[in-house]
Amino acid sequence: MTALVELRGLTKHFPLDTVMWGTPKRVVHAVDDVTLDIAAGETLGLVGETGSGKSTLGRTILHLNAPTAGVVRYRGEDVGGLDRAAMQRFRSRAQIVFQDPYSSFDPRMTIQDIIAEGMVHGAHRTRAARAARVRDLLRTVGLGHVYSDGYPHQFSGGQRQRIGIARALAVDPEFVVLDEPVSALDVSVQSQVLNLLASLREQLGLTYLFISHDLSVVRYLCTRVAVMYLGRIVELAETRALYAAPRHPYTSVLLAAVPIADPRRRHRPRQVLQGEVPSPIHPPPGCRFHTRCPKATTICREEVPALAGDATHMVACHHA
Amino acid sequence: MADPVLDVRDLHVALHTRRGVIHAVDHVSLHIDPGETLALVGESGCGKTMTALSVIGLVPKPPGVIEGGQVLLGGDDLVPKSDEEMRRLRGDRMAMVFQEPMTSLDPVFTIGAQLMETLLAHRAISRADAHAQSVAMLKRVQIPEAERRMDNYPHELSGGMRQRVMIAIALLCRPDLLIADEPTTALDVTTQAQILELLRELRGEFGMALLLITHALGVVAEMADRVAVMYAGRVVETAGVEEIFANPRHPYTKGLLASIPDLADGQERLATIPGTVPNLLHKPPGCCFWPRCPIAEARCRAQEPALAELAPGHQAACWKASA
Repeated sequence: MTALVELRGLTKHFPLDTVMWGTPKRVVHAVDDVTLDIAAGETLGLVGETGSGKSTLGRTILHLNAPTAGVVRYRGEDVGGLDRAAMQRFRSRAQIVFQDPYSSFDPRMTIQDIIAEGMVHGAHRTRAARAARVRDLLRTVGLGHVYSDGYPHQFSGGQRQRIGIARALAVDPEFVVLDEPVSALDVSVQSQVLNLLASLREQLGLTYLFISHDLSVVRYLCTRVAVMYLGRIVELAETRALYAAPRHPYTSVLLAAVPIADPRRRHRPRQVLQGEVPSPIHPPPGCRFHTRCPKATTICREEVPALAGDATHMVACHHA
Repeated sequence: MADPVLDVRDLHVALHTRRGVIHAVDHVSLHIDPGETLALVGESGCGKTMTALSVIGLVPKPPGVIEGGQVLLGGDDLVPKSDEEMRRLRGDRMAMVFQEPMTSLDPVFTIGAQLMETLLAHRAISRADAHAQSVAMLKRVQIPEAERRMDNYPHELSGGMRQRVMIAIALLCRPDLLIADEPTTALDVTTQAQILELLRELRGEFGMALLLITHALGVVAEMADRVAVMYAGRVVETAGVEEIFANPRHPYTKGLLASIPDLADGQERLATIPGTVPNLLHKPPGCCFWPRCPIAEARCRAQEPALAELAPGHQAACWKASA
């Protein structure tokens, strides 16, 4: 397995106090010590609840946030050490699609300009070449019939998400971070966009980091899944293994919490997680899940469990 | 069988906008028996929230106009009632919980003040009693340190806690009917599981009827006794929950059920419904679903099908679903 993206001890903290010198007192531990590889051609799912740090991790991988510590390597090269020109090349290889395409578009730009904006540095130097390329891209994302001189507000949520995908594809990327790309869409439109993402992956040989809170959607699209809790990866496994036999207690309750669209199974025994996610400003010591974990013992309160296991299934739990 | 708690008959609500008239609720009939949970299912803009707002008397007027029909709560028609009469009913005999608790709680008052306000408005009781009952209800919805939470403001609580507070306020006067509009959509999956569990318990304990509005079919399968599917302002199918999941008859219901990815193995490609929900300003003639329907024929484009009984308790509005 050749790694396209390698993360080594990647950490992102956000200071809450502005200080002129010294270290700020309060810090949000958004992402802590994440080490993993994303192989060329795979789709890695990144799952977690609000505040787990999954979006921050996605943005830090693309260096949209500078990491606090750790490195991101893309094709073996440290992204943090790139000069301006090399960074620009990296940006055209690694793209992102956001959850809400409405707030990520300039409302005063036409669809043509939104999609073409990133192309000026590429092969499409003339206006005519860019217009032709935009038409191609719109056709690729299933919007061959729309006017490219329309504005974002004239399109439905599903269409806007397709435009967001077209914009990401405009620079011929290899790697795309998809940050909750279907969460804002209705069920029937959600399935259309998921199918589109799957077929683009095959056609264009894309590698995805698919960030989502929806475990059913992740299962459909991803080859491997990483589960995050309070800034740390707690489990990383091949999709089939993770869903069939989750090994981290948090993954188990997360899977058990998903409503099942089958009324005959509503009386199954339920495992409901008690309490709420602790604050990322003062994350619990040791294993961050120990305050809510049914299996927690003394060691869990004291020692941070390492992510360990074989290539197909890794877990960070003292009792796994 | 007891009389229904809620009986909506041929309700027609139109929105008169500058660009034209939208028939948001297009001759909808529904009923809910005591203690029963009816799930009203559909996608954005299908009219499910507008139906609920008509029941509770909160349709924005203008642009909303109730053009016709009846909303019978315990046999009593709510449509002709004055705003003052509706205000006395809301929070007392019926109550509503909204999707986003942060916007439905008042940010400048404490949780306690908002709970007590409900009791003081509807019951002739002292402030001390109202306080005691409010604390008891917060405990019942499993808010830790309830006594202390009374003095908190909404922003000091998490999303899940705020939704528990909303449920507490709604249940204070023991309503016959609780309307919950996407009560867990804004919540994380583990918090959603907690809130659904709470609603299940309270429903049994208080014996109230529940009108649950949602787009999430998983939530429907977990909670509902009966289901009504709405599309473009109309109810297109209604049946018992097991029946509708096992034997959907309307092509729209079939499409919705097929397009959800689930946790089961072996899905290569998701089924989809082509196209999007029609613009209600320019509703197609005939059946509102025909432009997206895989089995539409000439009659579907010309004539609108009415809800027809296909099996006891199972109705669908489709020319091609006839028994």
